[in-house]
Amino acid sequence: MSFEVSKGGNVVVIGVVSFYVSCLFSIIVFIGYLFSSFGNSVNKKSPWLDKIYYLAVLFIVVASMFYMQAILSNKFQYIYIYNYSSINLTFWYKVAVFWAGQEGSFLLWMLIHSVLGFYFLKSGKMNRPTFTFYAMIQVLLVIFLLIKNPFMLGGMHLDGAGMNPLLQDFWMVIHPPIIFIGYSVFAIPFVYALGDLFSAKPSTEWIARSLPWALFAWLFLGAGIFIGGYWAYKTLGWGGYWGWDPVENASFIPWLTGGALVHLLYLSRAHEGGRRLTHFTAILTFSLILYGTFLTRSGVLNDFSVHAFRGDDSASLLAIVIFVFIGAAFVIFLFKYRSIQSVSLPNTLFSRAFILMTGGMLFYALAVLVFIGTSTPLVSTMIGSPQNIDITFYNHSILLPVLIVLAALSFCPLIMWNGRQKLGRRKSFFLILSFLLGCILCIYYQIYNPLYIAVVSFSAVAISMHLIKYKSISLPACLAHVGIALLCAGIIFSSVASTTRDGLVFAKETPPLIVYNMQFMYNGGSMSEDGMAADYNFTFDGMPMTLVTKLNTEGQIVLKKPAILHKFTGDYYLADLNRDLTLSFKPLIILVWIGCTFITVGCFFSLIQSFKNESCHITGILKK
Amino acid sequence: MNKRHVFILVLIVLVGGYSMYEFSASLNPYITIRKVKVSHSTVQVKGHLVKDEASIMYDAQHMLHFNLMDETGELLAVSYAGEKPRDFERATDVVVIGKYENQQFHADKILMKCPSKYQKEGTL
Repeated sequence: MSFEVSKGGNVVVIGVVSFYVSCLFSIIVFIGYLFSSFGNSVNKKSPWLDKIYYLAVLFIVVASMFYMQAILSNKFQYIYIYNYSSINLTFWYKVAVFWAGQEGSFLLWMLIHSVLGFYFLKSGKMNRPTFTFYAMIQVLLVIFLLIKNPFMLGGMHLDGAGMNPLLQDFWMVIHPPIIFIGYSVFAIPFVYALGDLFSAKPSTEWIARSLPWALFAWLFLGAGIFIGGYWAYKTLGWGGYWGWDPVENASFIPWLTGGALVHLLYLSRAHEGGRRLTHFTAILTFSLILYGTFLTRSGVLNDFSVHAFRGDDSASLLAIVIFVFIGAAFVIFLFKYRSIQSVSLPNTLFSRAFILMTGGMLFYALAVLVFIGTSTPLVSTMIGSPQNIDITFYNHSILLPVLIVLAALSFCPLIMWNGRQKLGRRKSFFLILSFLLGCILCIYYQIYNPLYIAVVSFSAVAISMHLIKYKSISLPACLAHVGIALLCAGIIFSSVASTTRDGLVFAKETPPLIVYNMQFMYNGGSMSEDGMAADYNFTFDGMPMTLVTKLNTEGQIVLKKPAILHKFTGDYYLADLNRDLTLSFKPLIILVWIGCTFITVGCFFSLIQSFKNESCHITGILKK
Repeated sequence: MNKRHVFILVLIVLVGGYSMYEFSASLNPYITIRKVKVSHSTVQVKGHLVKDEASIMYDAQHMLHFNLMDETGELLAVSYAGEKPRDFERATDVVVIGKYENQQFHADKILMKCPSKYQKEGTL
């Protein structure tokens, strides 16, 4: 690596130097904490160590600011900025260059982690062993950043290679930071769980402290995944929102175990059962995030995934670092888990403790399925006969667990902490009615597979049960549960009942076609003023639809966006597949987006509630 | 064993069995071109795209035809009943999933590896 000092070089050097100083300080803090937190000197304070940590945070903030400045002022001598930016990018896309690639996104992760660390150290909400583990993760991120260094200098360039046009989209600009906030925050329950194993007090304080952060992380990771799906649907033109690609799954698996964690934390906060599992889940979730980082960034899945990062020699190094870290966490858990006090759950199917545990276990079941599928290429390559898994595996095998999820959701509002409520005859009648409504809707959309009909009908039952008994569980949980049911029904309708008319060909003077019993007409195309996009205008059933084709500076096609006509009954989705056009109808797809929104909003209100309750739970614990 | 345990066990066996069946049904082995030519099931194979103009073409039935070559120079003729993926000519390595029948590989799915200036990536 060479430090060329070019025009404005002094400013750049401040960024580089702060970056390395921050890395160095992070390592010092970790080592200092490691030696002062365990053994005899547990309670001794070391203000100088904390000061070094504050400086590490300050320097990483400064380094990030200078890096952002370098991006905005087109410093293409950095290999990373050359690879992802170019002069003609608009302001917000230049901002997004910061997290468009591997190196920059690790810097963002480090930045978020450090700033949160500052809050925890300042507020004193983490005891010393806990913060030691927090600093350990920071060292891990430092290692990532030294392997994938955004400050690497290359040759001088007048212009950059440019950002992938697929990423030049509002949702893609906010998607990575949201996902990375989720990733970073899942470190908090992880370190609380590990730190608790070393503390003398009974293991309840970490639960009350972790719950809001687990919800926080789950909210952001979930929102990030939903945004990714929505972006794929409205940009890529293949008509779907989820492809079970290993890169998508790498975020989805920790989201599932994160869901388990949230349910288990609620259980452990109120009940003494299942606490060892709660510890395990907190450790597992962040480990899975690291595992996903390894899968998507080391290039091991390049021949299996459409959009894994390109691999290079750093794969094995990344693998070693990540697996040593995960291994260390689980070894600590194995040696210490007997110190966690836990009792068995009430021996009945009908108690709130049991249904919360069921919620957790169902998330686990789904996570195991997706984990097996995602890891198959890797594991089978290691044992010498590479195999890929077809996505029908996910689509089929997930149906049974989802049915059980919906059944459990339907029962959930009936089951209180002690015993269950009875349903009146009129209310039972209402449930049967909604079950039948589900069946009728399926038949209307020509869905005849009994498993699909069952998913839709159970969703309907789950929704109406939550509407009838909304008082017996908290409103946020109610919202999120209804969201899950809406999402399940929406996925079935929009994928199974989707219909397609393909082979539509238009020339300038083609008379209107009749598609889906409606008039479909081509009104000609036009170029945008800057010559970077071509619009093709259509009229379908009297409503305008416009296909946008994006071009690069050489006039080559780089992206063909689909045109979507939203109607209450579903979306008409027009896509240009190079030789002809296809128009698909995706019934009730709005349910998918409403479901996602409900889950996110429910999660948000739970978060607010649990932050409010945190202090009173903690005082309660300390009084005992 | 009480009622609850039996209930849970039955569910696990049911779901586990069904998932294992689905799992074994959707495995696609990843093999070399040489082995593809003697295989009969759905497989996955990777090769370099042969880029001369004549070999990438559509026939009268709108089938896309192209050739893949492995390191040893072994050729595989591939046909694909779908649309040509965007920027297909720019790809260096192509992964195809499908079956080998009548001297032809019938691909159900194509994955491309682009060396272009745009790194392939989507959701992080």
